[in-house]
Amino acid sequence: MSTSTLELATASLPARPGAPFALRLGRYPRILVGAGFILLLSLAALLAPVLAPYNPVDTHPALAYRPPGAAFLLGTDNLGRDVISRVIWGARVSLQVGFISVTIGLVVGATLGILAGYRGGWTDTLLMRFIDALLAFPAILLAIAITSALGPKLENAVIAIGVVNIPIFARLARGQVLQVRGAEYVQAARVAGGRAWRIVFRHVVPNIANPLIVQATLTIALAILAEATLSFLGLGTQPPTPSWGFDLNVARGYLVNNFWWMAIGPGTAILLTVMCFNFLGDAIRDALDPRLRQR
Amino acid sequence: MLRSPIPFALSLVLVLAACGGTAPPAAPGASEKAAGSAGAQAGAPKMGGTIRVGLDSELANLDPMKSALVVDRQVMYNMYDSLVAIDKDLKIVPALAESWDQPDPATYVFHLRKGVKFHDGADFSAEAVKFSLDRNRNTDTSPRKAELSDVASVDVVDPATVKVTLKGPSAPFLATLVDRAGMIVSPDAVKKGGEDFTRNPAGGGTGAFKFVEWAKGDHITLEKNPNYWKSDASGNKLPYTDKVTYRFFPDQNVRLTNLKTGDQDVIYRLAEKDVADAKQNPDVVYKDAPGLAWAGLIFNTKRPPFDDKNVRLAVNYAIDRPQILKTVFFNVDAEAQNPMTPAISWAYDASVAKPFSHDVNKAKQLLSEAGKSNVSFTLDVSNNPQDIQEAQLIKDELAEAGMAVNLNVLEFTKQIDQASKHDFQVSQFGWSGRIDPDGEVYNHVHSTGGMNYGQYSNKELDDLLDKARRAQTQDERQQLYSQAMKILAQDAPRAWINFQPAWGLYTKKVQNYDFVGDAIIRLEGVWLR
Amino acid sequence: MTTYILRRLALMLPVAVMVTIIVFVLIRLTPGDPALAYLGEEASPESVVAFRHQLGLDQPLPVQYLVYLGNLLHGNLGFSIKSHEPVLQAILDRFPATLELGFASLVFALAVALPAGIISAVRKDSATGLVAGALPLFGVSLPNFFLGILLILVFGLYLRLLPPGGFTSFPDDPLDNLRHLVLPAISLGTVNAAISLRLMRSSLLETLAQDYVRTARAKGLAARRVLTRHALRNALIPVATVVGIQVGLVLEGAFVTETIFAWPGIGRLAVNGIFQRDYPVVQGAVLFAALVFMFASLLVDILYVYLDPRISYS
Repeated sequence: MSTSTLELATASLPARPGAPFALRLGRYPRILVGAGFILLLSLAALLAPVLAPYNPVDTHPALAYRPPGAAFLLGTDNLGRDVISRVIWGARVSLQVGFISVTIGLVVGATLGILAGYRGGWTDTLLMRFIDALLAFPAILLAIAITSALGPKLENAVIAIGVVNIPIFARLARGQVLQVRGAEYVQAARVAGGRAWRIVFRHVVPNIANPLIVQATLTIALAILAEATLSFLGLGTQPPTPSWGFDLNVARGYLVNNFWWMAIGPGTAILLTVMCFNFLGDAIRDALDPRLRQR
Repeated sequence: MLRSPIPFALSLVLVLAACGGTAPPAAPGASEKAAGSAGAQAGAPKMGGTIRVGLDSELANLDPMKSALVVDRQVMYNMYDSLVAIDKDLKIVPALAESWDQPDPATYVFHLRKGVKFHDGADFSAEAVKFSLDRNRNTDTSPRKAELSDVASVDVVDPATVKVTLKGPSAPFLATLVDRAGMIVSPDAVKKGGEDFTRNPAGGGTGAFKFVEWAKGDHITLEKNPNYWKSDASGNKLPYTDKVTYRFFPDQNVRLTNLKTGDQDVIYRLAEKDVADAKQNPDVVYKDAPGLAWAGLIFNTKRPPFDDKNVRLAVNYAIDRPQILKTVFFNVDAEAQNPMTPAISWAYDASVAKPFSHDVNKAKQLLSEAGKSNVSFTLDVSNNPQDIQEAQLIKDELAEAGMAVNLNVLEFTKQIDQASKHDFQVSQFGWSGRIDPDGEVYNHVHSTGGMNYGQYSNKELDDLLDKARRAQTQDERQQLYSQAMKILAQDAPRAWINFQPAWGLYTKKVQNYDFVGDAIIRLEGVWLR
Repeated sequence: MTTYILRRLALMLPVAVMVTIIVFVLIRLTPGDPALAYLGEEASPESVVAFRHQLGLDQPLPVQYLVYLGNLLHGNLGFSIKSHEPVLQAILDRFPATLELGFASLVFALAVALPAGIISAVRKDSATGLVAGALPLFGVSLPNFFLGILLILVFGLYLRLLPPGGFTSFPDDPLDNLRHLVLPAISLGTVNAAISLRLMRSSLLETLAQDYVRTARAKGLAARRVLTRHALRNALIPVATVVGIQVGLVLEGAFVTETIFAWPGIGRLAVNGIFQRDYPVVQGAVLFAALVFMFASLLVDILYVYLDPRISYS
């Protein structure tokens, strides 16, 4: 997870007062396309029980290793389960992992960052040292270590990925807060004797929302990849839950047997989903970047 | 997709039969020459070259006293010799001990081979044997201690004679000596190496190859022992090749691919799903033999619901072994319903081998008679693809009989940890296998057995197994083991599922590969085209 | 500048300490008994107990941590539970392999990213440009282990062009070493290539839109000349600094890549250590990786200050 690179990408965005850009979405076709795909994906995940032709969990050993055909559009896996059905149901896990882990990272990270940026002084120093310590780890390794420590389960993988994402949101939030802190309207509020948290919520948060949204979108993409990696290493989703990462790991073992269809389903799903989130994140960032206004 | 493998497999079999393997080493008391290739061989052995071996994981130890991993043995068998060895039929043959007598059933007098030297130049002698055996059996942290627990004393009679006195007759004793417990190390090399010896066993063995280096995480290199005591039938000194390198490929796909491309000459085992591919691959030589390894489920007999024998029996009837063998093991493994593998032919008794059939109704009946028609429990699963696949199949098969199974996938070490603490209901378990039936059974189902994690205890069974250890003839032992198998079928402390074959996997370049059913890669007689 | 460097170094110390605490806590929390992991599947219960005592695993946690910290300060990272090797030695032995892989992957990344980035910026409205511009999205979205496996299959198995994993050290056989390096370097470098490409493109686009470039064009300089003499140099600045940051990405990707390709670097050492509950090895490797990363970040920041005169740190 390229925390620092993304930081570079989003740090240049200034916090702006004013109405959220959502009202002007129509001017940004890329955002609509990206968001549209993701909406479709979410719908597919929600409607999995209806959409999927077969039950993704029940084993049918007599039907195992079937190549794509009329009955099974992408063939069956090593336990006779329909690959397409597992891919559709797998969307649930991937989206859940993406949204929940990023939410954890966002909420905890932004809170820490706002706290550090707003209060300054020792709070700032201590919190930032802790954030630096977390950032010093290669992210995947930290996620592996946390998941191993908590036990290899999907819930713990989500927590681990969430924790790993805290630093970047913290840094981002703090940076934005520092920019905003000096602004006149905040000074005015403080002078007027407003309570700290009220100032934070009414003035600071809305203005740092934009870069955080961009970051969140891009981070969801990374979180989905991270879950795939954790499942690859045997941590994360446990059988028989359909999960793209887990299924890709299983399919990997059968590529040499020419059972290629087992990998195409989950592999393409991961690729497309991650691409969608990246695409959307890029689009939002470009939309928000004042320097790219002319384009 | 795959072409039909049959014509190719047939022709391969014919070619292999013509080339043959090595004939069994000489019988006790005869000369030191190991017979070279029997039958038609592809030309005379060529000297030189490096054999590259791909193992499935990194080693932990090269000191026989400390080693506890199956993979350690692969290297050690080529570096060290034991007092005795085995031939293709798993029979005990002389090695460092040219012959032995038994003045009484509990005493062995070994007559040692003369003129053998360690890799460090020191002479092999009875002192070295005493040194090796004593350190193996007296070091508390050594896994050899339990293996040699029957030994009362080791005495040097003269430089070429060693007397080993046991606490009582022990039929598996010689078999135990074949492996690490009987490997002889050079006392000088061990003292010189100190703590470091296990990572740098320079000069330590008498085997065909001597240790050169161990680059951690990368490879181990051995080189030819110019003073090896074995020669081939024509009198040429073994080994033929100059060097051996071992590399580690935990990923079975990468390992097999390396064999196919010729980047490795020999590899250690493959996944059953790849057997068909390996058989029909023109660059790979595939051999298999009924193996000593078995696997299945172990029940915790001291915890509900498996404290009830009927539930254990129900599982044994509800599992569809043929289906599991087909889908998970591609019919490469053989069906197992108890630990007595057909590979140990003298002990195997077909009449007691398969007491269970796939009978869901019978399972349901057993459960309802026990009042446990809707039982549910947790199955601990090892974290590897094959075991996970098998566990899911088992879960659904047991569901048909009304048993609700919850899968708990665990890291291998955690799984063993929990099992050893008896913290499980049912767990997957496999055993790499031993050449003597005692090694296949005792420690797993005897009430004092070190791997009897399910705490199963049956006095009658204990007696049978103890008697079988002390018995003197194979016939006697076979009868005792057959009776033991009958008791296991009644009590069902475990559900055995499959026997894994031993494999010989190498490229066409490799000649005269001595394939033995214990799955150890022996390289002394190998030469490269 | 020197004060800045010194201050940064001083700040690194408490962070480093916190890193060791985090690692220590995490590894201790990890379930599984290292004694069993070491002694293997055939260990007897007595030998397990004896071994735990030998390792000091029956001491209370804070005591274990202090012992660890004390050793650390003496440069003693402990001994691998599995192999008895000194951990520091194990890491130093394997670091060159990771270094080589990382370096090669960055070279590959730049070799792809720079030309592709330039093309996609300069010809942004043509088909080539659009394709080149779409590559990064693909590159960052593909799971790198999937890419690795596919590379092995295609180049290693079907085409038989390159070996499917493994390693020969450079002194032993330089050519073989390079043969083994190609696929893992591509697998590891793809993400970096994607990021650098994207950055190169946007940075160049931005630079090309600048006034001084327009002025140069207006003065009649050829497009090519404008590009190489003026635009590129300035556009490369952000890319150069990002390359430094990508050390972190390389370290991350190395864990998975080294495992797939059986490449004996510290990534594989750490992953194996985690699965074998080899506490000292994991602590050492993670600490080492974290320190390397911290130093790399420091170097990057210094580089940034040096290269871009508009930035200054007090």
